[in-house]
Amino acid sequence: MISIILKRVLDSVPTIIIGITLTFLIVHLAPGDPGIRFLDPSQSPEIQQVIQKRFGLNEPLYIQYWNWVKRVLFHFDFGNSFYNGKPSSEVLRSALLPTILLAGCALVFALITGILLGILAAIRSNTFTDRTITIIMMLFFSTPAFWLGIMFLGVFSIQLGWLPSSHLTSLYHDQLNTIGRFTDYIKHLFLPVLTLGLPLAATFFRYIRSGVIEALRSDYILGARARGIGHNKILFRYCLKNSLLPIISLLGVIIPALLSGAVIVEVIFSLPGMGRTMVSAVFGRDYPIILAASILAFFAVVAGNLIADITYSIIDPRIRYQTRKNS
Amino acid sequence: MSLLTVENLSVVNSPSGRSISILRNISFSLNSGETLAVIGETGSGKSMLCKSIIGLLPPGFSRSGNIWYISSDNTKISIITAEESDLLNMRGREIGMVFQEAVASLNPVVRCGNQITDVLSVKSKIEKNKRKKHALKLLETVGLSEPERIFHAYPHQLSGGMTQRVALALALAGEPQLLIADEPSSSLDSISKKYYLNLLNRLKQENNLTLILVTHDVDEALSFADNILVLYAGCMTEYGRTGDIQKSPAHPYTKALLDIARALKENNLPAAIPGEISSLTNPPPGCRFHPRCPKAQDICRVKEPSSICISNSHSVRCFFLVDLS
Ligand code: SF4
Repeated sequence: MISIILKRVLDSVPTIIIGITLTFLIVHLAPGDPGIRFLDPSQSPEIQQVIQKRFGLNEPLYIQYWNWVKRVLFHFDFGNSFYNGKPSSEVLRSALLPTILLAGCALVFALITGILLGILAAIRSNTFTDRTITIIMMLFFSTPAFWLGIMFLGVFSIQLGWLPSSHLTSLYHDQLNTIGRFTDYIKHLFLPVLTLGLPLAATFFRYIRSGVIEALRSDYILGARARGIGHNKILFRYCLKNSLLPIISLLGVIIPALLSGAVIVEVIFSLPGMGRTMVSAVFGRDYPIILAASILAFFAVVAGNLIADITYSIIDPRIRYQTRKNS
Repeated sequence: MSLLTVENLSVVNSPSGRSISILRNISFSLNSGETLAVIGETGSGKSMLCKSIIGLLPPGFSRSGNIWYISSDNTKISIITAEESDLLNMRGREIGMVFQEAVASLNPVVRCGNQITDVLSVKSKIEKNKRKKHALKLLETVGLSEPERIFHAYPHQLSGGMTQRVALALALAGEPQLLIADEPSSSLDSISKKYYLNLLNRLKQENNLTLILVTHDVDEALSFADNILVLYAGCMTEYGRTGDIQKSPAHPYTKALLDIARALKENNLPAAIPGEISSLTNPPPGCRFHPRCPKAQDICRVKEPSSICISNSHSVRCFFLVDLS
């Protein structure tokens, strides 16, 4: 098992290198430069050059790239933000928590909703319940996150005023006791999590529903029924475990989707997370931040795939067997 | 006493308003400790017969007639009208079943041993900590020499013969009285097949099982069964003691099957029955066998023959019986 994991980690090194290099090139070759934030076009070229020099942007691109790689590899230094001078790692660290909270809660919410509704629809397949759930889930599946987010904001925050419309905490958050802080987080995260989680829940729902329906028709379920195994055990031990497999392999794709979804949701709900940090870094051409955030995103995606593969092989012995045979 | 009595069992499938007759008027009875072989070509409704006895017809299929079963505490149960909860209780404990594709009938993601203990947990009174030991013993009884390894193996790691025996262990875990074996050996090679059938016979004797053996191998039926039921396109063409059927098959179809089996045994190229088995969705009128029957007359094309009793244990459905001399 450990050798398989190591092999997979090594396999992903080229992906990360290529990904980061491409990001570096795209960021630097895109029109506009960090100077625009500080410069007035009417300022003299001399001042512009001074600023360029300060940021190391006057060197040829390959030297810039090499310097950057050296710093990252040998000093683990991702550079300071062009904008506020803080180290990238610090900027990202403070942005990480909201994103992890948001994405994690959305994933858990989507898994629970998707699986429960999927099973319910499958055992009631082709009835009114099934059709209703399926139609509602398809609506969420095909609704873009930004529209859903804006609708939630409009209805629940602005019209009804039930939930806050932005930020992760209230202004008076620090004065609250533990329970108060907790509910404060929940209130602020509720709509963002729904916005990010509902389309995902719809994806899970589709897989679970068809997986359970297929499993219920399969020979091994017939076999289990012929042996007199009860309905609940058949559903949870026999059907669900098999229908979870496609979802686990999906996790590899879902983590990038969650991250890119988080960007939109964080912008809509003004959450101080990675997504928003990244967006403002891109607008400000804050190269160190963009690059550091990209590296983090690459690692998240690679790790997601790895975790998916490992879980998959734990749940499905057939895969474990094959990988062992192949390696 | 008859353990199982089937009276006029018919199974109908009604997809989108049409009704397709899958089985028609099947009647037989099976004494405790005896073996019934059900023979017929693919598509004759053998599997459906098994599934209706254990109450596991797919959705959209309905049964009529009667299936009586005498349970181990001597109560007479009507399987057709029984509640699903009672049937659930009976499956595994009263009636066990093994399927043609053993590996498909096992859960691919649960270890073989745990599948057995799953059954033991609901079908026997064995305490939790003794279940593994019992499961290992069961694996040994079905002739698996490394029970510990098989216990921890997943179905895909075992050979066809092994999975078929694991499936048998699973079916026997609840100590049923009646075992339905739906073509259990058809996917095995000839050596494993022979081994498996001998094992089945031995277990049958040891556990005083009553057996329904579905097969398309006539020889297998002749050598193992006490009674034979011949199915053709969902109709019961002939039913009787094995000796009677072997000596004097009365139905042209039975005779053709026996002739083929004999020719195969003597290494001759048998003359196949001309034509194909008639479809269940659009069966021919009259006797369903008439398009292929060498003895068919005009009446066979319009009228369905009813069951004739040649002796009290031998019945046949045909207007023009094979020469009984
Ligand atoms: S009833 Fe007629 S067609 Fe049918 S088996 Fe007998 S002889 Fe042949």
